[in-house]
Amino acid sequence: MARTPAFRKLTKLDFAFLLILLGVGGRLLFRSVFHTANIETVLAVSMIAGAFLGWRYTMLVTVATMAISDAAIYALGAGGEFGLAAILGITAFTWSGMLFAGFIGAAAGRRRVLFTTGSIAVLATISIPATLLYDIWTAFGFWMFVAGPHGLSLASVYSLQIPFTLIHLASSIVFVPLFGTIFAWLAPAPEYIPTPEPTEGAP
Amino acid sequence: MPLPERAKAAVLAVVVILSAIGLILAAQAFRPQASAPSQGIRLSMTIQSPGWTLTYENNDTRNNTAFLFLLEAASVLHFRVEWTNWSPPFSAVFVDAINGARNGDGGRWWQFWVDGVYADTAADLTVLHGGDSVLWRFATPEGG
Repeated sequence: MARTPAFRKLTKLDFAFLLILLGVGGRLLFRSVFHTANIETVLAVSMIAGAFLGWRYTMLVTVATMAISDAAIYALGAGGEFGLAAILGITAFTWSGMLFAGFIGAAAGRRRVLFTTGSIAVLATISIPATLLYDIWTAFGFWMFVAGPHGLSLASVYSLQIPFTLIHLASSIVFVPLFGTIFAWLAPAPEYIPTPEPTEGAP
Repeated sequence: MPLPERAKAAVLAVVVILSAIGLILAAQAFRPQASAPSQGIRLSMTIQSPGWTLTYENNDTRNNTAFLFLLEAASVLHFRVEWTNWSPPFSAVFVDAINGARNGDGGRWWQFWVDGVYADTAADLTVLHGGDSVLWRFATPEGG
């Protein structure tokens, strides 16, 4: 399908801004409006930013999305039961976990053309280990700053994490291909550059 | 013959939707289930807030989760409980206020322990057994 000229004028910064909107909007909608645990859009936008825009932009998108949405969530009173020190500790784990996911997206995007269904499928598949890594990492952070000091073992935390990780995986494998498809459509298609034909004659 | 791009996209959409449904159903299997006890059990509860303490005990209750027993105590002792329902796929309740003491007031939050053990799941998913004692405390986060 031909893309309209308007989309071709979108810059990388425009894409980053749209991704931040999707990330913040999705996270706040599911977290604070629908009250749905572990369905979120931040991991997807971080991976998409990495795959489509590169590692520098994934840092911008991830940090901006997490900073804005965390500020809103904590301003609404969430997490206060943990205390400020624990919130700061958990924040370090969640932000770095999302950055890992973004860098995984960047590594995947660098090696393939992102305008085919196959490529979107690969990105969706890569979101599975990215989500698992994120959940393993952040559950460790939760144990370190909240559950551990209350006497829970790390094994208990990982055991309790299982259903939430399954939901998080469902969230990632839906949002990564969904956003990937949207952004593959919005992004300018790579220009076809004909291979120069060898010319005859004296060197 | 390779599939056209639209057919590939349709196949991917079906695989994604089925996988997501499967994962959510699997998550449900891990959700603690509190089946109603065949006979009444003995439970006790203490609710502590600065300035007041409530105690409640029932030797023959069938409300065998921390949340249901809290609602039973609220009904008998005439105090109010407010909570937020977390939606599916992993439904749970989060207690916001008990007897007028609301989370965040004075930097305090409602937390609960069962037989001295800090609760690791939501109140409605915490299954109680005969002889259990629940402590609700309106306290500042202390990290243990």
